[in-house]
Amino acid sequence: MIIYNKTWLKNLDLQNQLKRAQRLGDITAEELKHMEEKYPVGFYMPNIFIRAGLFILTQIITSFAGGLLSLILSSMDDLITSPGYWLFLGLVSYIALELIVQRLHHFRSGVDDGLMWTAAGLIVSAFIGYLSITQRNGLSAPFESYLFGFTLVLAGYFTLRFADMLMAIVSFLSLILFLFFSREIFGLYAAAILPFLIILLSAGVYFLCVYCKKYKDYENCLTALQVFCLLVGYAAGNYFVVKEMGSMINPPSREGEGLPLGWFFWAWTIVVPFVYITLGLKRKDVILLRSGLILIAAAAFTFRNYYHIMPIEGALSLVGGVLLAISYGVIHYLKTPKKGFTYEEFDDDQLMDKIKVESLIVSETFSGPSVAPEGSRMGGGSFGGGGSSADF
Amino acid sequence: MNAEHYDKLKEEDFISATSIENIRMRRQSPLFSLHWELKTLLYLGVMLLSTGLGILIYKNIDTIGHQVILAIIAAISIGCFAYCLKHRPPFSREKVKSPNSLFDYLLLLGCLSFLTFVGYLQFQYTVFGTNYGMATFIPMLLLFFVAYEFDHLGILSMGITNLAIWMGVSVTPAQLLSSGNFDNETVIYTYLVLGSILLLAGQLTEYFNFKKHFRFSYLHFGIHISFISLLFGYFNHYSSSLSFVWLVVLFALAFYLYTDARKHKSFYFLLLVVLYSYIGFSIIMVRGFIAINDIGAIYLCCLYFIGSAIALIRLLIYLNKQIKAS
Repeated sequence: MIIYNKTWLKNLDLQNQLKRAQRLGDITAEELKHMEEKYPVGFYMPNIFIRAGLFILTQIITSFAGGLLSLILSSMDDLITSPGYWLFLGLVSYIALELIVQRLHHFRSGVDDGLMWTAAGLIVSAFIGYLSITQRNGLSAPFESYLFGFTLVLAGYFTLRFADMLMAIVSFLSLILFLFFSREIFGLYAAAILPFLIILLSAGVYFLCVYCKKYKDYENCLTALQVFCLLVGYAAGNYFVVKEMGSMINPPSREGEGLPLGWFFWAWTIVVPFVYITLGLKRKDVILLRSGLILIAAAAFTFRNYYHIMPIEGALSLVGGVLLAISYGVIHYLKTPKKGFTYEEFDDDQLMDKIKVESLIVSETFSGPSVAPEGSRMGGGSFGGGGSSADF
Repeated sequence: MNAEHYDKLKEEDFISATSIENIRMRRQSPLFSLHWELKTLLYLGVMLLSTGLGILIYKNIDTIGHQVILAIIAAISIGCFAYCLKHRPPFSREKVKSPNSLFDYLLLLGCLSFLTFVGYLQFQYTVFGTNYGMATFIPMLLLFFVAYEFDHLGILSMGITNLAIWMGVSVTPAQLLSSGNFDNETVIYTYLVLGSILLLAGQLTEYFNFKKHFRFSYLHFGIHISFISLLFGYFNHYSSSLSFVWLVVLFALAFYLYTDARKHKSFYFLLLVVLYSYIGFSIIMVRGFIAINDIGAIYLCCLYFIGSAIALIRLLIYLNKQIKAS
C-alpha cells in the first residue's frame, strides 16, 4: 500500500537512530559513515527551508497551470464550473504526485506535500459540488455526514499511501465530525450519549495506535494520532465543551441550567490531565506527558470560566510564580539524574538550533507589551518584530 | 535504538566492541529527559508573571498599593540580576554556553521587569520628560548590553525590536504619530536605514570576530526589514519614472546577500534572498504584462509563472546540492 521503497524507509530509520547514537557519543563518526554507505537511502529529502520554498513554488505552478487551462476552456458552456472538471484537475495533480514520488523519489520534499494537498482539496471540492448541485434534494442524512465521511476515506487513503502525519490527523478528525453529525442514528438520546461515544472512540483509536506500533513505516502518523486521540478524548468530556455543544444541539429551556451528570464532567475536566501526566511519567511516554501538560492549561481556563476566584492579573502573576518555583525545584532535584529522569538535554535538534527558534519566540512574544508608556510607542511597534519573523 | 536495529548492528564487522557496549548500556538504562518540558514551563512562568505584573501596575496606578507593587517588581528585577551575576560564566568574545535554562529565563524575567519599571517611572513621574526617545533609548541600551554581557540571543532580538521602536519614534515627530497622519515615505526610509544598520551590524560581528553567533539574529531581522521596505518603497513611487531604482537596489542587495549566504552555507538566508528577488522580478514582469493591455498577456502571465516557478524549483534543488557538497 505504501508508495515508498520499504528498504529505504527501514534504512532511514536505522540511519536516524545511528545519528542520534553518534550525537550521544556512543559510536564514532567513521562507524556512522560506514553504516550510511552500507544502508543507503535514495530519497530526495531537502531540509525544512528548501521544503518550504518548494512547497510555495509548487502551489504557484499548480494554481497558474489550473488557471491557464480553465482560461482556455472557459469558452465552453458550464465546463469549468462542473464538479467533473474539478475532479479531473484533482486527478491530474494526483497523477503528478505519484510520478514525482515514484520516479524522482521525492520524500517530504515540499513538491509532494504541495501536490498532495492540491489533489485532496480539488477532489473534496468536486465532491461538495456534486452533493450540492446534483443531489440537492435527495440527501437522506445531513450534508456534513456525507462530507466528513468522504474526507475520512480520502484522507485515510492518503495516510496509508504516503504516511503523511497531517493527513492522518485530518482523517481522525473527520471520523469524529462524522460521528457528531450522524448522531441521529443513535436515536432520541443521541445528544446525551455523544460525549461518551466520542470518548470511547478516541480511546479505541488510541489503543489501536499503541497496538499498531510495530508498523514502523507509519510511526509518525501513529504518534500524531495518539496526541489527537488524547486531546479530543479530553475535550469530549470537558465541562465547557459539553455544555456549549449541548446548548448548541438543544437550546436549554432555562438560562443558567446546570448540566446533567455535571459532577462527572467536572471530575473529567480536572482529573484527566493529571492522569495523563502521572501515566506519562510512570511509563516514560512523552506523548502522554506533553498532552497532560497542555491540558492542565485547558482545565485551568475551564475552571476560571465558571468560578472567578481572583482577578485575572492576580491569577496570572500567581500561576507564573508557581510555575517558576516548580521548574526551579525540579531542575534542582534533577541535578543528578534520579529514577531514570534527567534534566540534561541530550538529543538536541541541530536544525532548530540553526534558526534559533527559541530566541525568535522570545522576541515575538515579549517585545510588544510591557515596554514603556503609551505615548512613546504609538507607532512602528509591530513592524520590526511582527512583520518579519512570522513569515517562514 | 530498538531491538531489530541493535541485532543488526551486532552482526556488523566494522562496529567496534566499545560502541556496541555503549549502545547496550544505553538500551539497558534509558534516561528520560525532561529538558523541553521544563524549558516550556519556565517560558510560560516568565510570560505569565511579567504580563500579570504589568496589568497589576496598570490597574492600580492611582491607589496607594501601587508603590508596593513597584517595590515588588524592582525586587524581582534585582533578584534575577543578582542570581545571574552570581552564576554567570566569565565573559568571552566567543559563544558562551549558559549554565542552564533557568539562568536564561531568570535573566529574561529580570530584563522584562526592568522594562516594566522604567515604563512605570516614565508614565507616573515622566522621568524623561516629554523626550520620548530617551524613554525607549535607555531600555534599548540595557537590552543590548545585557545581551552581549550574558550572551543571550532572546534578549538580543528584543533589543533589535526595541531599536526599531526607538527609531520609529525619533524619526517621525511624536505629534505627527499621535494625530495619526504620519508620512509613509519617512517611515519607509527609516526602516530602510534600520535594515541597513542591522545588516551592517551582522557583518561587523563577524569582521571583528565579536560574538559571531549573533550574526544570525541581525541578518534575520535585517533581511526581512530591508527587502520589505524596498518593495514598499517601489510601490510608493509606482507612478514615478524613477521607481525602478528601488528594484535595482533590491537586486544589488540580493546579489550581495546571495554570495554571502553561499559563503556561509546558510539555507535559510539563501531561500529568503531567492524568494524576495523572485517577488521583485515578478513585479517587473507583471507590470510589463499589464502594459501590453491585451487578453493574450494573461496567457503569457500564466505561462511566465509556471515556467519561472519550475525554473526556481530546479535552482533551489541545485543550490541545495551545491551547498551540501561543498
